[in-house]
Amino acid sequence: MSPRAGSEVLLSVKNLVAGFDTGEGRVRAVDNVSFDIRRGEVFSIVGESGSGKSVTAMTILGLLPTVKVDNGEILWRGRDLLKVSDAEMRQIRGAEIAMIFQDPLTALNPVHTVGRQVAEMARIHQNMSKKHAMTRAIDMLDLVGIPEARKRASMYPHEFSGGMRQRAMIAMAITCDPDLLIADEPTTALDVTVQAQVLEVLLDIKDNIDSAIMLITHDLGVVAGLSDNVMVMYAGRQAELGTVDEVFYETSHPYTLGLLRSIPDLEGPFGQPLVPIEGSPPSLIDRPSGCPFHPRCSMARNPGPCTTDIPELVQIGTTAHVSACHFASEVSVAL
Amino acid sequence: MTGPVLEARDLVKEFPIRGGVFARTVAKVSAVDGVNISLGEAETLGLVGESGCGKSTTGRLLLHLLTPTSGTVEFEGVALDSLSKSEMVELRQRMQIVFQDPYASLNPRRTVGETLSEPLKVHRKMNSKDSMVRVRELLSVVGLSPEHANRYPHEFSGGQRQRVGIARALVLDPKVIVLDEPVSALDVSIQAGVINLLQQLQDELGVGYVFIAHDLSVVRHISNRVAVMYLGHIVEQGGRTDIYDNAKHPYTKALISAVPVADPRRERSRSRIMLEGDVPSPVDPPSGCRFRTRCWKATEICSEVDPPLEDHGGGHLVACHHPE
Repeated sequence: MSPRAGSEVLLSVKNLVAGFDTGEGRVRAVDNVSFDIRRGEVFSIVGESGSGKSVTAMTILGLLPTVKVDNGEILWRGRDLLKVSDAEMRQIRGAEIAMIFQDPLTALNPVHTVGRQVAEMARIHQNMSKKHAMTRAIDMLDLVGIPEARKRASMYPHEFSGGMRQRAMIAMAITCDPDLLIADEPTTALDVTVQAQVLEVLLDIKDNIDSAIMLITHDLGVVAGLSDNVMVMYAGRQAELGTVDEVFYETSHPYTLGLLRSIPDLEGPFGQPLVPIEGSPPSLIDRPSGCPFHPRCSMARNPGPCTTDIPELVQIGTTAHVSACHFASEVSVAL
Repeated sequence: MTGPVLEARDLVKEFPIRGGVFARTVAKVSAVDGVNISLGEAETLGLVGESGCGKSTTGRLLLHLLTPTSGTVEFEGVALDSLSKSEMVELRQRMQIVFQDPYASLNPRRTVGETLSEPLKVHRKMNSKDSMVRVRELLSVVGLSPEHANRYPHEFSGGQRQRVGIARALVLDPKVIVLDEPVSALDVSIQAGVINLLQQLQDELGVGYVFIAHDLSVVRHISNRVAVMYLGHIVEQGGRTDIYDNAKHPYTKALISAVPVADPRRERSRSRIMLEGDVPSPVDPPSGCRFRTRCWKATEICSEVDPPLEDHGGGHLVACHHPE
């Protein structure tokens, strides 16, 4: 897998700061996040609950009306999505950037047939006739591996199994050949054998329509198998960003290292102890000073910059691999 | 090791499906169909399978939280269905359960101290003061601070709440704890701490675990023996090396190969067995071997004869006509 340095930059997020207003003040769910996604790549965002990974995705599509963007740009092929009109945004959403959600049962309309919902995409975005759109929908259902697509198209979401529903969601998302597919925990609700099927469908499709995939997940196994580039988020900030090999083998942030050490291996020798990360993720309202990870970090120095200064992303080596740690160069030594 | 602490024979659990105007039983689902399981002292038995395979139902049957349709469960040689109500109440102290969602299984209106001390007052006739001493001690055993006794469940994080759930199960010094997806709801960085705690408690207290989970890596890490379930049957059972390094049932092989590992190089070189389709409905399971509809090795005999669990040496049990 290559970092695909040469291909076209589709999405460029720059210094994005976004949050919600709550009774206790503004919560910064996304804090100064920057990254590029290029055509043909799988870009994964990893993090635990509350790390800001889903909010980042939803903000790109403007899907969360309660999110207030305080700073930054979201450049979609050069156009700032934060400045386009609602009508333009509706054109982009679905046709150019499509989204796959975690729970297909809540994302599908229970009172319409699956075929109609998939066809709707083609009718709205490509002005197809009803009949034409339905043919397209059946083709799409067939493409994502739904057997007897013609018959299944006239069924309702509740008549589908979990894996079939997720396939239907993918069919809907790819109907208009989008350039970017945002998949938010697409397989978390699925059983492992079905997960493997759905992930394979996603990869096939990416190659078929030459798009990019932004994959949001907490599962490092899924990340390892699919990604070209990986961004690790913690408490709304970027911890580390690099190619999948860089992040897994030249780990340069203590949080990434902590995640990798806390999961049991399916193969290695038995009896390897797990190394948990002490404590729990911080509240976004009451952030720790300095590095947000320092209260849980085994490498944090106190007194030292960790408790006082927020670490900026620093380049590791000569590639685009970056880490937000004051002692980034010492992490891979600990590996 | 003497005999098993917990032994289940031919467990069957059928649930009625009701329909029609008078909600009559129109059909039955066999959620668990002929399961045999034994658990030794201070042993961990992993129970894995996909949703709907009957693993949680099995866990509840083992504790008689659900009454089996047929079959028996013996705890230290005593059959649970032979016990009177009061004898069962006594025995319940020795067999506990930890649920997946600690928030739903703790009373939100009671402090953790109140929840944890109640069993001591009921079963051990302890007074408030003595029970509180024990509760504070327990909280530090599970890695919380004794002061946490005065807090309510909502004041804890997910990982801490699961530690409270574990403390609750430990209050009456059980011999066996059924852990039903105890770490699935937790973030990975928190999971590891709870798994380590469970292992440490087993070393110190000698308690046996039935560990129900869908995460095969976690089960491999914590279990001595593993049973793989599919549509209410155990299809393969054995020591963890039997299952993870030497699986003989096609379903076990497919299941393990489908788990993504957090290592990009290994992921690229791994070959994956892709199963076709989904798990069939347990209402109308396939004839013969229940896995045959998704199995690449299925032949005629598979649709006719349900393969029995056979010992392939050293307690490695496999139910397949064409084992590897």
